[in-house]
Amino acid sequence: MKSQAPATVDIGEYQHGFSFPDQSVFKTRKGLDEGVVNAISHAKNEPEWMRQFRLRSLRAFQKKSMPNWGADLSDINFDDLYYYARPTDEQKKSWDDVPAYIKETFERIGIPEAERKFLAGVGAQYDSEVVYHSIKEDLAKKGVIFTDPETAVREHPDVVKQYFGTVIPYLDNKFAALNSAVWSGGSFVYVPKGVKVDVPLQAYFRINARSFGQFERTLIIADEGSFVHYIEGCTAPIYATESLHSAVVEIIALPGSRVRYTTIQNWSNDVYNLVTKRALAHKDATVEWVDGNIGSKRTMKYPSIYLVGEGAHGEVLSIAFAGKGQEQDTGGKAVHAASHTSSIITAKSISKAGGVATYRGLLKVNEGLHDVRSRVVCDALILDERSRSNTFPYMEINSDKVSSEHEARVSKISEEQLFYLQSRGMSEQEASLMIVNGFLDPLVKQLPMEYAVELNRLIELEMEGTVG
Amino acid sequence: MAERHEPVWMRDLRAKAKERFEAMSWPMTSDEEWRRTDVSGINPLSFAPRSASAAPAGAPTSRVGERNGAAGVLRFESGRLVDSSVSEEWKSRGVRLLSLDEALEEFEKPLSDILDEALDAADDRFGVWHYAAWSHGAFLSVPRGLEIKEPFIMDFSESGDGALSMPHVVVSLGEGARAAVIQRFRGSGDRILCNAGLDLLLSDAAGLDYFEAQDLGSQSLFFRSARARGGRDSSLKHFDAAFGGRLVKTRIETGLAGRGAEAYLDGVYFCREGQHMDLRTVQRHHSPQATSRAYYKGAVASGGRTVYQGLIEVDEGASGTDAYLTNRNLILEAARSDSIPTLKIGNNDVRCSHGSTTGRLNEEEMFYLESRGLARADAREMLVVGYFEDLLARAPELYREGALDRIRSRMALAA
Repeated sequence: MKSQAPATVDIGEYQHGFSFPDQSVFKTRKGLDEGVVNAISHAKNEPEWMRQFRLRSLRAFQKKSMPNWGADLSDINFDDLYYYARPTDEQKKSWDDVPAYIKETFERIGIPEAERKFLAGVGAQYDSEVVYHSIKEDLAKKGVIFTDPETAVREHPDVVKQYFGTVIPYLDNKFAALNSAVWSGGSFVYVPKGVKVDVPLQAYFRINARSFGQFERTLIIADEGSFVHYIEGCTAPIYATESLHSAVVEIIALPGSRVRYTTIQNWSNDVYNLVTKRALAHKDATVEWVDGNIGSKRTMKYPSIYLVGEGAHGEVLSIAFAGKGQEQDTGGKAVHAASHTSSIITAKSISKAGGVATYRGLLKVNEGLHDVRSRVVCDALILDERSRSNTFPYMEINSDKVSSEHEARVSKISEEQLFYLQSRGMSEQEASLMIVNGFLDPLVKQLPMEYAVELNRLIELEMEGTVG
Repeated sequence: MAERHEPVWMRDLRAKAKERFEAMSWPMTSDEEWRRTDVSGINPLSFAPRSASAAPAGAPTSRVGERNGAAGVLRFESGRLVDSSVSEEWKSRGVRLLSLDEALEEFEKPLSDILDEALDAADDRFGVWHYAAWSHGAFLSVPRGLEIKEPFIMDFSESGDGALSMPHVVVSLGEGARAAVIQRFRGSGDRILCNAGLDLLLSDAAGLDYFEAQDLGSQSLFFRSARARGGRDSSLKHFDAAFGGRLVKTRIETGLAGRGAEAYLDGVYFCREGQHMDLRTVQRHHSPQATSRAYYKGAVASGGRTVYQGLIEVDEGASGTDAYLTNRNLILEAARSDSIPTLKIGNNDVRCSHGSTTGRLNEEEMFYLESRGLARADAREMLVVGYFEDLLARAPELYREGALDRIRSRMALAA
């Protein structure tokens, strides 16, 4: 049996690899210029200040150069992409109103109706617009706002103006500028003072148009003493031409609040996933990023936490799986800008079948601080001799009353462990899977149950045919 | 250069380097390796090469009595060879310690091979410039099978305001040969630019212990690019100590080119007010079953700035690689210390890891020492010396004492 196992997951069997005829109602032409940006803004019926913001961002995007580090992005052709498409004319209020073909797509990626009762609100994204959105009544009663950013711009302009683009300015980097110019869809979350949201908020994203980029924009504001767990998951159908996904996620954790943001990214293997995610943690606030990267062709993503208030704490847990043809350039950043702050970055990666897993991260401690603690740990497993693993942890320490530690290890599956498990009657394949699961276990444990199950299933799928 | 009467191959090599030099621009902070060291504010070409008349007319006579137990001594003062001596015994057995320009004819084959390869590998303008315009230097050759315990000493004393100095050292060890070298850079308060180069070639089973100490004047700019290549079962120990200079940017790259090769890169650095030090180590594994370690430890006093960049790179064919890299930084007062230990691994049969810590003096230990009656400054000095002790214990006494003296004097200044 072993010898018959395919080297990688067969595309024909890849259950997410399906797509339906494009039924977008409104779509801009290929390429990007002022006309396209104006068209997007017009289609969204936006106020002038947002249109101006988009145009400023566009100019920044055109001026900024591509990063000269990280994954190879040379085959992205910005002129050959669509920057906006809207699948349905208006926001649907109930699941029944969602068009059948979109529902079917969601069905296939595993959002069965039965699961919806677990979800506080579903911001389900098809192409670049939110088509389905529901908020449980009790959340609405508590004053929690969970909507798409377009609605937020219309209905909560003051809050949006106050925070939008403040954590990640449009000038931050080329892809943040791109997103700022053409953003569409995403989530807007506001949790009022003292409110603890006890079920995770979730949004599912999906790309479904050839050569079509998706640029969602998420802004989460946790007011003083509040708590929220936001979960983002995405899968995409397989296409032959490259797709570009370039999101911006901004989190503001006000004093005493806690925000956890979980992503399992499983874009199809032709997607460029170039994402900027950053959080501000104010006094006594905690921000946690749990970031799983399984899919995409090339991912560059380093969830960041700026600890700007005393007592703030930040954690990044990063998991990457780089299979055939994939490059996962991921990691995390912690920037300490206040005393009495702490951070932990834990990264685990697996590379196989020629995949490249790169940890890239930054730990920075600003000048004149004291009682700052930080720990960065990277573990990498290379499953075969064609695969690669890189580690680039940057540490910039500008204060003396600081303790920082960093460790990184790269290894293969230990022969002894394999031998032991095989002597207990396991096949080499089963034994390898068990070791890989054990390797990832500390991180998988941090996930909500349904995500842990999904991740385990994905790893199992990825591990098929590893041995023999 | 024409007045040097160098052999044709050397002139060709310089011309080739010069051509590349002309086509390159100085490193910019957009180049990853130079991101933290900005040289845009200095004009390297404003430093004046020393005139040929200051260059040596010929080797001075041996002064055997001044070797102090060393196997050989070479001393340069501002580019001029002032002392050259090798033990007669080793000389008779084929050991050569020469100023580099003297060696060019006799050792054309090994030198042209080594320097050609080094020039090809040079990837920034300082490195290429060095091969176009090296000014003086040393060559040590130890024939196969010879084991020499006493160190060879190479001293480079660099002064002269506004002077440009480009010393180069080549060490070539035959199969199974063993040797130790102590290379020291010293300087005055003059503002000089020293762009040094070092090429080490270890044949199969050769062993080299190389101790480098840099204590140039406080206004000096020091760039140094070092390359080492080790054959099968060779063993290299390179120990670096960085104390002087206003701006220091150094790199050592060791290529483990033969099965079973070993390389140990150790380093200590002490950086204080007005100093910027950017040190890089590269452990490059080309062959199976090779071992490498890098262990760099620094202390940064108030106003100092250090950068350590380490890389372990493992080629696809280098199975059984065992590599580790450690960087520790002690921040004494408000100072900045960056640590960038990186891994690029292309083989799965490896044990590679790195560790980095940055912290300050342990307050409890300080309290203990002060409660025993030590003045605060003495307690600090004791802890800092203790911090470096494990590394310095690996160095020969002569070198260790020199390094400790410098650490103590800097602690006294920092206090």
